[in-house]
Amino acid sequence: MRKRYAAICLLLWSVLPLAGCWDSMELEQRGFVIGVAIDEGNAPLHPNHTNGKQSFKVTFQEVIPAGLKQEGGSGSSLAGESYFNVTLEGKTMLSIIAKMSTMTSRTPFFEHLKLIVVSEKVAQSDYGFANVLDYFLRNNDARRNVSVMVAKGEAKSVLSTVPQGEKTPVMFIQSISKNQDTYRMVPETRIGDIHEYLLKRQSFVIQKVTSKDSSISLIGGGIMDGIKNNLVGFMDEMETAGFNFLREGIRGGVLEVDVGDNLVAYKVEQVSRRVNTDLSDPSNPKFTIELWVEGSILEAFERRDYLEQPTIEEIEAKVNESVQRLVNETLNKTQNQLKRDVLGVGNHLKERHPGVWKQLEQEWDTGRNYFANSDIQVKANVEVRRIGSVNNTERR
Amino acid sequence: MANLRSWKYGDERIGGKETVFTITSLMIGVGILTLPRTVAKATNSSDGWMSILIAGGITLIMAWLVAKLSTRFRNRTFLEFVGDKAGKPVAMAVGLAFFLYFLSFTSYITRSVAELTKQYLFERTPVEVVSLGFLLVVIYAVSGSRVGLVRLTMLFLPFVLLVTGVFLLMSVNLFELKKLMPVLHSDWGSILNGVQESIFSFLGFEGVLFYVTLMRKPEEAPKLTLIGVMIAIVTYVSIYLFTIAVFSYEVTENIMYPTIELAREVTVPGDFFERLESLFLIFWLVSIFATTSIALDVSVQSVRCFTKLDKKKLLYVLAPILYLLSMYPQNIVQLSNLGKLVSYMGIVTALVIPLLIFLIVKLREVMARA
Repeated sequence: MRKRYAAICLLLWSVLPLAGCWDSMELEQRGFVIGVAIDEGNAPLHPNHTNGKQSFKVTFQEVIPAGLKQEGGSGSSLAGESYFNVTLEGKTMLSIIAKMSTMTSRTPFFEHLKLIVVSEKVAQSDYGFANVLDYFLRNNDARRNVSVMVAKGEAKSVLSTVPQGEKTPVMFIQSISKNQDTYRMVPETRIGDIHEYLLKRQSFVIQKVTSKDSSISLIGGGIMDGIKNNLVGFMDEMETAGFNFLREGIRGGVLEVDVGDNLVAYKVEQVSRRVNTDLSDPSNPKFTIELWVEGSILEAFERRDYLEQPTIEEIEAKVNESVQRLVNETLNKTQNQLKRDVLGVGNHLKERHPGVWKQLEQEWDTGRNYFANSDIQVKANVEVRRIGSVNNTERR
Repeated sequence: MANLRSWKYGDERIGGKETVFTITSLMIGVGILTLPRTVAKATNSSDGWMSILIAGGITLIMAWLVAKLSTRFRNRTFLEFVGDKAGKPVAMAVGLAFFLYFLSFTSYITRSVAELTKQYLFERTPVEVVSLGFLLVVIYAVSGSRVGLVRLTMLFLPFVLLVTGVFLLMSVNLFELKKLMPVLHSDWGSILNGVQESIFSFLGFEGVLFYVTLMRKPEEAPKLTLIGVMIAIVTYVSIYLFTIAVFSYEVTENIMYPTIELAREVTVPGDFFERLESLFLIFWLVSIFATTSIALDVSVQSVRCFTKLDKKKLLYVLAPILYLLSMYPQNIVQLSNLGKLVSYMGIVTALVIPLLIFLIVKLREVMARA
């Protein structure tokens, strides 16, 4: 009998911990933040306050789960219902998020964060860029594959673009940046990779997003300085293309070349590169970047017999020229104008010639700037592999 | 005899595979999660795998020595053996060292498990509660059959290794060989720093001394121990190479738990199967539960040369000490200091004591012959 009472008591006692689950949180209480846009706030509240040099105006994009559901075709076109944006100001991300909890019905939750947009101004300020990313790296909700982009102008407006074919602006931007067939955009820059560049003190290129009248474009890229970790300039469409060729970042893309009097469109399929280094004078390294470009002809207005070797060779030479032109623009931008090594030649030295790198490391893209003074030659080998399904479309 | 064969698990004895996994499990503890960071930080280059290999080599030699020693027990326990060969006082000193080491090892793991689950699973549950829960389950396990503990590791550890293998393979598309460059360009000083760091993650194999008496064929112990240590070496080296090739060493030395972050990086195309790290954490938790139980069991076994108390009463006495010790570190820095202290004690029990006993035994043999 006593044993039975003891058992009942034990059972009742075991109910106690059930009520006290600290971490129980219903799904309905979580607010899933999928995008964050960070702009510069108004002037610091106290000018001589040393801890908070900067304040930020942060916009959060939260999804409304009910709005994301497909309801039999009806109502799904109302894109405005599937997300909302909240903008708040503060000095640290954490304090801003704490403020946010007082204003939205759900607790913000970053596990599904997809995109962080940093405004041009914040990215340009000294160390501001790394400061705003600290929270998202330190907090273990967010993953290391969150995309980070720099907005030309205001970041907030990027999150207010009208999504086309997607439910929310963030998903829209995400699916654009995943498109494979252009070299005018920089490949996705993940926060994990950026963390790596920041720790390596290496200059890098970051995705750029421009919003204009509720439409956006991801053409171009931002160049970040490796020492101060701030934005030093933007690359335009052509410079980005050249950059993608140089970094093997090509995921497809089209080069239009003049053959005869007409255009032929060459589709780039694959680029591989090899860097050859000449270190006969260690303080003035010479690099030869060899590129192997492979692709096919997918559109041709010039009527020729494309099954003839000379025709193919002519096109290859023309494509080669235009690759050279793109690459030279990029070299001009990075070596002569901005003097920042985003091409990874410094990293190549570090990997292959660590001894030489030790000597040059400190003043690679600052001070004496060995990078800007190094001699970089690009040699492209273009191959036309295929010509498509027909030889010619009409007879002239 | 035929009947006895079918009653395979009824004989309170452990077989070959179980021995191998017990040894691996005793070594792969918290180290599997933090090793890439500590080694990357110590070597400050991507050459840390060499440190792990060297440390693994040292461990192989020591583990072989330990196991060789254990083949001479002939149905005596380790401490009885030491008592016979070197006298009672030495046996008591050895027992005390093993007791202290495995006791603080248990506390350290308990707290580490609590800290880790706090960071990744229960953000708002106090570590005190998680530790208490974990410790109670461990004590419950230890008060039962000793062979049962060994079978637990046999049950869980293969899954940890399997999940680790799966996420390493799936991270292959993030693997960049050039992050491992430059190869072989570190000086010996930094490699040796790395050896010191990584040897900490190999300690624990000496626990096998307390399980040889349970083995069906104790004469196989040296071979099985070597296999167990090899599994740990291969696991560590591959985890290290993958974390470096995915994150680069600069990043790895800044990530608290690189192995978990690596599991978090893995995504299967289609966003269908994203949270591989929770799977890994679950298996790791049950496996570390088995490891901790074995460690506590070793501690209990070694204190029994001092007292006649039976195992359960002894556990009642030890439980509060364990809990208080695991709650002693006030922050993550003190916890890692405790970890270092535990590791230095481990060097004594895993390297110094076996070597001394081995020398004593050899010396007595030589003297007996002379």
